Amino acid sequence: MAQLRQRKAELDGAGAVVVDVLPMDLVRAATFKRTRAGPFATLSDPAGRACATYGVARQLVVHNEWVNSPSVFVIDRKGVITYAHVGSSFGDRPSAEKVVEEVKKAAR
Amino acid sequence: MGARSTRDSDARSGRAAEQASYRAAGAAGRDSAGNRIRPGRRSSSVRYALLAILALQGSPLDEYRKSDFAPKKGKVDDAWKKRILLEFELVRAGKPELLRPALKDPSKEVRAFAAGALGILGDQASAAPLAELAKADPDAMVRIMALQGLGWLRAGPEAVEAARSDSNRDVVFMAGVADLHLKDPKDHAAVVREAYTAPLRLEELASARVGAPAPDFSALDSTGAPFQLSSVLKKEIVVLTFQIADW
Repeated sequence: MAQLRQRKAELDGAGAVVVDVLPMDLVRAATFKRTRAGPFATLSDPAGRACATYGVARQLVVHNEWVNSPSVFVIDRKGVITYAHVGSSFGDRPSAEKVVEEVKKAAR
Repeated sequence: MGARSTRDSDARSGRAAEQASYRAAGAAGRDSAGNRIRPGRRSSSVRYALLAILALQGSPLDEYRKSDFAPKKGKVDDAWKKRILLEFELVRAGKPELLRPALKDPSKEVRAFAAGALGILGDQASAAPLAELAKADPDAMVRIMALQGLGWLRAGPEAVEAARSDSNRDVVFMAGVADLHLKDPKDHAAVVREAYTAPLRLEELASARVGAPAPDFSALDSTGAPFQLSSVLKKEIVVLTFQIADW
């Protein structure tokens, strides 16, 4: 997240918006937005419906809570998913470099 | 030993109460043809056969209890689909009386789920049992969800304060979240209930595919304003990041 924030100028340049989805209620989403998400939009999905639709909900127990798999989807301007990474463990997530690379591919 | 036996005994009586609640709710009140079953008018063998069928079918909570909770090392399987579908079914049923006995279930996952669900349902009758779980449940996962439940009920300030000194740092974190709820006049449980309004269907799960249109969804942004994915699709490139959690 912090790494992706540092690449915001490149993401803006490619015409990309970043939307964070949290499987938490508004209290936790608002705290996350204030302390972690910075300029990116943060969504509250407390029942996990969006997370389930994208196949990432309730998959890991970390810090004694059922949580999402860490996951990234890139969607091009036609509304088509061009890249997906659904993590299988806490640390299994793409680098900021990889996300920026996939955004630039989607922009072509 | 004594405490454990008491807990096991409570769990058994809780299970019996749950099954009795389902019977009282009419879940077992009709036969396959839709005719009302009248206890006492059937032979004991027929009654035993009916009870055996009911035991096999089980309640959604029985199904939840039986789901495979063990996280697979380095691999995610499909058990989550069953879990979330059952969670939707149990919350949408809107019957706290069926969930209260589960706060004493032998399964920590069932106790944890019930604690959160009773908070979502706004069941003030569960405030005292949730406060007790937040203080004394042997499992941190249950203490965390009891605190989440108390937060949604905006109840149990003493238990929330006590949890700030818990030996588990995850519980301490959730005590902070519950405290935010206690100080917030907004009824967040009602907002969460709203998110469960529509049923969740199996075919919706994991329907996002590379090369296919992104499934639309609605959610709330961090200010509480409605957000629809389709409102930004086809205008911008969208990077959807599903955060693991907020810690």
